[in-house]
Amino acid sequence: MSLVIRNLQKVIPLRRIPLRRRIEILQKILDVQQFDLGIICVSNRNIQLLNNTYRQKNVPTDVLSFPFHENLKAGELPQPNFQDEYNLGDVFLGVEYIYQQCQENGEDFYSILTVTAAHGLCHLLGYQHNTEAEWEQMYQKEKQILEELNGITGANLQPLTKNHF
Amino acid sequence: MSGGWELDVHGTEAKLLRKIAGERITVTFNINNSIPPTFDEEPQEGQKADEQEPELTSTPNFVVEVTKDNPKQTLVLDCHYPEDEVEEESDIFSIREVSFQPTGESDWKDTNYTLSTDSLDWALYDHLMDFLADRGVDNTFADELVELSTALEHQEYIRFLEDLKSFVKCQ
Repeated sequence: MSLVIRNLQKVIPLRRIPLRRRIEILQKILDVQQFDLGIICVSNRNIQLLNNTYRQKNVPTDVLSFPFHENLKAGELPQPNFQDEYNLGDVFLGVEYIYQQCQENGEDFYSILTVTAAHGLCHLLGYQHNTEAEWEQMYQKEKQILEELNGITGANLQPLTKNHF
Repeated sequence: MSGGWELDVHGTEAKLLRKIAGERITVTFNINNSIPPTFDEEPQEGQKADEQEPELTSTPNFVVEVTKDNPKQTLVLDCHYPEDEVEEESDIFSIREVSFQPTGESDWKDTNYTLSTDSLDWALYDHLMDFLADRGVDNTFADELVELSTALEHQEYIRFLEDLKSFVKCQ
């Protein structure tokens, strides 16, 4: 099924293929290649608007996930009844926010985009981090995905959830 | 336009030109029929009439031609701005068609295969978008092209009104 990337912003120069390659590996690791997925790259202004609308937090952030299948149990894949339901949903990447963080921390932009996308994907699959138990479960999942990704690409990516609780 | 583009305007047609790394890149657009229709909404209570005027922007289709010297070939990409303003999650611009056309000839050759991106593999589409971005045709360029086109359109509109006034007056 389709991985659709959209770039709605002009603040940060972005190349789609490096992002696509990394996300396709994540999809393969999570065994969700049969599902449609949207990755939408937005500016601080845009993600702040979404953050305020949907989470009542009037600040920019790095990632917001909008799952197609709500109330999924963490770790369980959706079981669609119809072809139209082979959709995980959309992950909005606050690329401007992420880029600024990378500049401050001296990190590679596409690496952090990958880590953030992995975090967003986990949210689409029912993982949360509202309680300590949820956080631990999500952290372990992200760690597992990224270890596998690191093994394939030779990178050394760490879970975003590390600092999110 | 940022990025070192040369601008050439003939009437309603504008051409931007750039040369980089042995390639010649032109972006051509026409300001005619470039302002999408706006649908007037019901005036809100207390709103003055002049506050309802929408900001008219020109969003022309534009054609990017990339010509390489060796071999002498021109890749032509027909690009559009989203038609529906309600589609908030669409790219700032999209590639609609791609074709190889004879270098230096202004007439479109119908017998050359034209690839439509409607049902194109998304990975290939992303490659084409990155191809354009590497040559300076990215979201920033697309935004600046709208500003340029809007300014040119306004200029032609004023000129037309002045010509119309003169024409109507003369005996």
